[in-house]
Amino acid sequence: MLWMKAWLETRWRLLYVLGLPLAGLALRWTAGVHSAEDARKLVAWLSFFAIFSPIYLAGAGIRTQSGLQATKGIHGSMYYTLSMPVSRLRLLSIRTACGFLETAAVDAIVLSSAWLCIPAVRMLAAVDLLQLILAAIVCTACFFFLSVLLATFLTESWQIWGSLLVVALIWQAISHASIPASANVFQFAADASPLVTHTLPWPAMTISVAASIILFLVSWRVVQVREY
Amino acid sequence: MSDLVIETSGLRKSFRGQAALNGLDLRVPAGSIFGFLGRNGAGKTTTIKLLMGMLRADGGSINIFGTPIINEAAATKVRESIGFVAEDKELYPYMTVEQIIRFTRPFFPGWRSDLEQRYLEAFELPPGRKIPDLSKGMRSKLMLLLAIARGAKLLILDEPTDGLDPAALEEVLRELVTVSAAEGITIFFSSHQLAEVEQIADHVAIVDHGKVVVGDALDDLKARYRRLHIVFENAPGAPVNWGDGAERVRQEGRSVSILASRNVEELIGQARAIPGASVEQFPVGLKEIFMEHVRVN
Repeated sequence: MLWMKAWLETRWRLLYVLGLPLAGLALRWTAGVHSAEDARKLVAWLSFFAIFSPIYLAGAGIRTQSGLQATKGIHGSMYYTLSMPVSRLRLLSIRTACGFLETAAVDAIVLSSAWLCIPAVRMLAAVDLLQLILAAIVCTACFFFLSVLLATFLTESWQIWGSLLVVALIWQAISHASIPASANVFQFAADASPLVTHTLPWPAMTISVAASIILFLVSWRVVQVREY
Repeated sequence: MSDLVIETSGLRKSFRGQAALNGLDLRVPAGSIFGFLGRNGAGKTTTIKLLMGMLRADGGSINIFGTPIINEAAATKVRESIGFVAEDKELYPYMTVEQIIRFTRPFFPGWRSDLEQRYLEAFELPPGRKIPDLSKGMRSKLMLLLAIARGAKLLILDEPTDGLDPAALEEVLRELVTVSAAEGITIFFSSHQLAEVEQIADHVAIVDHGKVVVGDALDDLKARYRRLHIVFENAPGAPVNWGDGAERVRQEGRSVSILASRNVEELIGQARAIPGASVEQFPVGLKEIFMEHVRVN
């Protein structure tokens, strides 16, 4: 039932997050994508959305599902949620899992749509595209969990803007450091893209997974100690 | 199980150094309808949030059904047997009446489908209607249905009748009394509406500045408390040192008004011993007891 609640809370936002890149894809399609190089650029451009969709999706409903700040408005009452005989860990976990699955679905649907709709994209190796989808999901997981953490103590708009700000700061910091592309979580759609390297960016994926675990544990701790 | 469903001892809670509860002692007997009274900001909602595990106490203890609420696991377990109506009366606006019932049901193994059906009909709640399209009164009734149908042994209701029109208020109060009597459910409800408390509660506690200042069975309180009106022939030269039980004493010229909480006969005897004093005693209502205690404190 908590899954149903999470879905009802996020479905419209999911549609929005899905609609933007698909609309962009339609525009690029009509403009014409002829060569493999065009296809690679298009896929890189679509992958760019993978950074932002988790931020947007993480916030939707996290607060009420885990019984956080929202007292009224579109997400309803946190007090009703907190009156259930359910631990805060379970509330947070289910909501987070639902958001993460939606994020993964957005990445997979958008990139698969490009492959299905645009013949030039089909010239790319299918295995490379699958690797890109996996890299996009895993490399952007840390952004999702960063957003989850911020959602545990910030209101929704602050959570979105705060996530974007922190991601921008990290991007700035990383771009000034001499980190190899394969270890850079932002490069999964560029220099470290499986479409270019024909391999998964394992170091970046490992860093992202480790950061995600840490961020989730901190989120859990925040939710446990918070009072409502 | 203890005869007490809720027992708190020396409960303390502060927010940014401001004490909200200051050693609150509460004893709610099983099967009672317990009115928790106090002015706005007296500590009622803070107490309820502590009972529900939404806040953590700075000190003191909470026992519900004899279980000490010492951590999240204990609070989560105990919530299986608690029906709750929050002060804000907010539910999930993207759900219909039917959906929120379907959502809530699986969390409570003792869910009472018979009570669900009964209150859907009694409160005339349309199953297909979205929650934002319900009036405030209907939303309050829906919350009450969701609390009762949980199969709860204890209902914790924070201002449950807030925003109800007189007819709906009567209906809700009647149903609370009925369900308590029929199912043996303990009802703990906060309110600042003295009339409704007096109408249905059999036990009350008045909280002020985070402490229980009066707490007892309502009938015992009413039997014990008396207003003594004493008129002297001449204004006494020095203030009279009234005996034990004189809770509030106000003197204006030759007359003295005493709110006596016990030892009424002794106080009357003390007054009559003063030459030229005439004494009258009057029964006292809950409103007067409440006003006297929250005014002075």
